[in-house]
Amino acid sequence: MAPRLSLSTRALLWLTTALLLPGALAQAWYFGSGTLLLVVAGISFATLTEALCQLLRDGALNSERLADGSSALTGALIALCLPPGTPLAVLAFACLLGLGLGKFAYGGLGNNLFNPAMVGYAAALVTFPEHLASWPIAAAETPATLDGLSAATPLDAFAHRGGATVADFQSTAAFGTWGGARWEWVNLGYLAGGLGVVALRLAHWRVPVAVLASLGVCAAIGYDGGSSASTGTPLFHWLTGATCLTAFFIATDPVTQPSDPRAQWLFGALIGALIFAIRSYGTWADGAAFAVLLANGCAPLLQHQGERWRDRAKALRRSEPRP
Amino acid sequence: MRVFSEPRFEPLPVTAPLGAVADRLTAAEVTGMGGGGYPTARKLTAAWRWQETQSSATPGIRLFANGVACEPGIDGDLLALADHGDEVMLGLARLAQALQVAAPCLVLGHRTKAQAGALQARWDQLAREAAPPLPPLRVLAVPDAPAAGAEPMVLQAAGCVLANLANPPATQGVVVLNVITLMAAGRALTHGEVMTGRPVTVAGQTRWQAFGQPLAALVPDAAPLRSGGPWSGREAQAEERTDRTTLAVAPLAASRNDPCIGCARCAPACPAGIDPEALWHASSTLPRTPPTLAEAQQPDSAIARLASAGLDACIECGYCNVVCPSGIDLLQGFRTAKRRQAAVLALTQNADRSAARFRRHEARQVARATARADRRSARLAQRRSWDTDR
Repeated sequence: MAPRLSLSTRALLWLTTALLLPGALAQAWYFGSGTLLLVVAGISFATLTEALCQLLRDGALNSERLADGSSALTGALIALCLPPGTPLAVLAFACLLGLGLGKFAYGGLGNNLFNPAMVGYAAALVTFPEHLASWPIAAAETPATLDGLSAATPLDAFAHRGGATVADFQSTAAFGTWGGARWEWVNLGYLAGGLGVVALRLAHWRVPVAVLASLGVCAAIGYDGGSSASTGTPLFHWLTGATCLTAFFIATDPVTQPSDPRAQWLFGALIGALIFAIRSYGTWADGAAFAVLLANGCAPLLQHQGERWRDRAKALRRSEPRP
Repeated sequence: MRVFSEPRFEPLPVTAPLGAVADRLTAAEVTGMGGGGYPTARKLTAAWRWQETQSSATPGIRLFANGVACEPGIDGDLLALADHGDEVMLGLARLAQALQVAAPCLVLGHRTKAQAGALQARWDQLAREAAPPLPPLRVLAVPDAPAAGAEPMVLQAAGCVLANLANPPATQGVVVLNVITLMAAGRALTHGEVMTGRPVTVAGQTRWQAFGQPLAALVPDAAPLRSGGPWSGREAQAEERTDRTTLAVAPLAASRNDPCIGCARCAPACPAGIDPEALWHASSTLPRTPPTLAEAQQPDSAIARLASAGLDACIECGYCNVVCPSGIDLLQGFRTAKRRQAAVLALTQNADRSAARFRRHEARQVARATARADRRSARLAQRRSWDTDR
């Protein structure tokens, strides 16, 4: 399948960054315009980090590489993972570690094993857990009492629902129409942008579909009829937390995913299953970042296995008699 | 832009003789728009002359409309069929009537195949309206292999066998016309209009461009320019102007060689079914030192890895270069790797020959020494017998 647009890498990365917009706007609508400020700051910090790394490595700035959009996309993704009230220092820390350790330590664009955005976010998550735990509600939605200024995420509320059944949980304020309150619209925004990514063939549909399908299958198995031990419906998992952002924008990073089609199915399925496992049985409310990082670590192995299957299929085709 | 001029000639009736058709095409400057630039009227006249020498039992002139893209980076035919499919069918119909063709054939590539239904419908509509009845249209689709749009390849795909491969097909009653040429011919005959532009692919995007523009207007700020596709193109000056044979314009030094981001777009694009990315990574690990014999004998050397990644299967079509978003010149890497592989192979063969020569030499030495020893022992034995005789 050839790409629909014949794009340079630079255009491809900037276009992907632009397609984050529907989700980012939904996030800003529900959690405050701080989100957009963070995105602008994230892009700036990431570009500065890239410049710093170039200076340290080459002793000179490469303006073309600086504007190629890869660090901007990383910065935007890190910013969108953080709650809007996050101090800018935490964001700068995440960008510095994400691009410095996640990308430049491996030799720059195209050589990194782990997704730089997720390296930065995970580093910030384990270093400053208190800043990243709660998501404020936008002023437009603020209730009269000050207690309502921030709310636990739906995944947190679901994990600590204290023996309530799924039906009980669905009647609480943390549950929206189909998924987590507010988060369902954020996820639908990223889904819309993600469909653009797939339609413009900036990334193949294989990985997002594998992530969502695997998460859906795992959730359907763990649903358990909606008992108090249930892990939630597939729809709840699809439309809560960072599912759609991960499936369409983070897992599809061409550098850190395997390139073999069969391996890509495995890679996506692994991410979906890990997201489900970490959400349902782990300490962290949402496990998307760790799921992506673990799957990134497995990508070379998956690529190897995919190539073995490809070669076996090729050998089988060759051994068949010609019609 | 407007693709056709204001009418400059009177419409030509369908019943006009071939001579009048040929004169009109010459006057409207209809030439091969697939890149050849050959005057279309001369092709038609040659085919007509051939038919006059034939008995009435022979099948007659065979007419092919060529809508197969020939080379990556030249997409004019796709644009013409998408925007002006009606005019293409009109031109095919008029020429089929003028040449009294029994079964005209439209050959499409896999990328233009989607238009087949619409084009067939247009032909059927023309056939319903035509006063002398139109023959049925045959539509073929061939895979988009490299050079599949070249005239011999199109004829081969259509199952058309030429009696004499050395002579032009038109002199043997076979006329192959590019779809844009047909478009120009159709409007010249029915409306007396002249084509004022053609589709030109510039940096991967194909648009209608007027004739006579300086190439520098299409690709600004690029000093060395390429006119034509990545394979068949030639270096062109910025002051040169576009004409009927300008298929594509691009900066000549196209490879940016940004880092590989592992997007794997080259894999589905490869017609040889190899993974160009893996091959390119293997080729970029080739040592810069002169080739050595040791490389051929180590199972994990770069050459061995290239061979297992399918270097021999690479047909050097350059599709991977065209789809690479990072502008990497993968093909150059493969060519360098192939040269090194050939050099290592030559070293191996040389070493094998030397080893064989040494073994033959050694065997000869042994045989000679054995023979000498035999002769000596025989001589001694003879002497001994002589001694005993004494």
